[in-house]
Amino acid sequence: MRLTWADKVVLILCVLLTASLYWGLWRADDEAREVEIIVDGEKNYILDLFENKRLSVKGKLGESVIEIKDGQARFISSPCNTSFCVRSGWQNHGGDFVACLPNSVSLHLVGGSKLYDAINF
Amino acid sequence: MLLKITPDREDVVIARFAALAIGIHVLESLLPSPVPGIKPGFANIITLLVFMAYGFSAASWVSILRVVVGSLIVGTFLSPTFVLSFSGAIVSLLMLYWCDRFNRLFAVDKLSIFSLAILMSMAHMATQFLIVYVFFIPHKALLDILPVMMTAALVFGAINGVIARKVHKAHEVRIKSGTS
Repeated sequence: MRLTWADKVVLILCVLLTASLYWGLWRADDEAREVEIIVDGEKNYILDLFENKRLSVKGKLGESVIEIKDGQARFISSPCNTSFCVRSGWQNHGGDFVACLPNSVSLHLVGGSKLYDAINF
Repeated sequence: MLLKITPDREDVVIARFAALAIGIHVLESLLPSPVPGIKPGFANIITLLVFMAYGFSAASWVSILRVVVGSLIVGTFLSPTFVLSFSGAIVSLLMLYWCDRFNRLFAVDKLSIFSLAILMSMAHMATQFLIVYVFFIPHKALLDILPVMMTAALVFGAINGVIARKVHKAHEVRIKSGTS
């Protein structure tokens, strides 16, 4: 089948248009920008995720150590028995949530498009 | 007084091809579709063939008759489906008109029937999507399906283009004489 010059241009433009739709509408934009630290369910601190720092937060049982680095956040240590929060590791998506329930300290990442509307424990 | 209408040759040709297109349209509406809104659109092949043989005005007659009569037969006349189908047909005819104008500007390297099929199919899909998004389901989540719809339009447009070109080559003389 012979395609004219105009046909080739049309075909390439249409394929590019379709591809750009995938790129424009399907690209995941979920990088978090800020982290919200919630203590005892009432005290909230909002920190920039790109300001590297290590902080200890006093909860019900003792001090939880939280590290913020290059757009990610994690628990380094926590005075609880199970350490689920520490084992959850680095979090970097908007809507991510890590909680140390015994110590009543939790991290909530905000910014980007949330992957979940709500999480129920 | 007796009113007498004598159909001229073009009327007869339009009626014949419209009947053919309506047949394809109705058969196609029986096909199950994985996603609502995606269908092959084979009836557009007839519009294209009529355009190649008789020009734009005959092709638009065939296309609009196909949408109106086809919806009467399927039972969707004046329903949202009809609105989508009709507006899609209008915009894809506009696209055909522009392509026709474009082709008149250049003697060589014209848009062939293949390009016309793809452009009309994409125009049809884009219009339907726009109307659904603006009037029926104005929700951002709908945009997620747009790339899939446009891909389907591109693929089916290309398939129709290939079929239309083959049929056009094989039956050019017969189409011209109006004996489909």
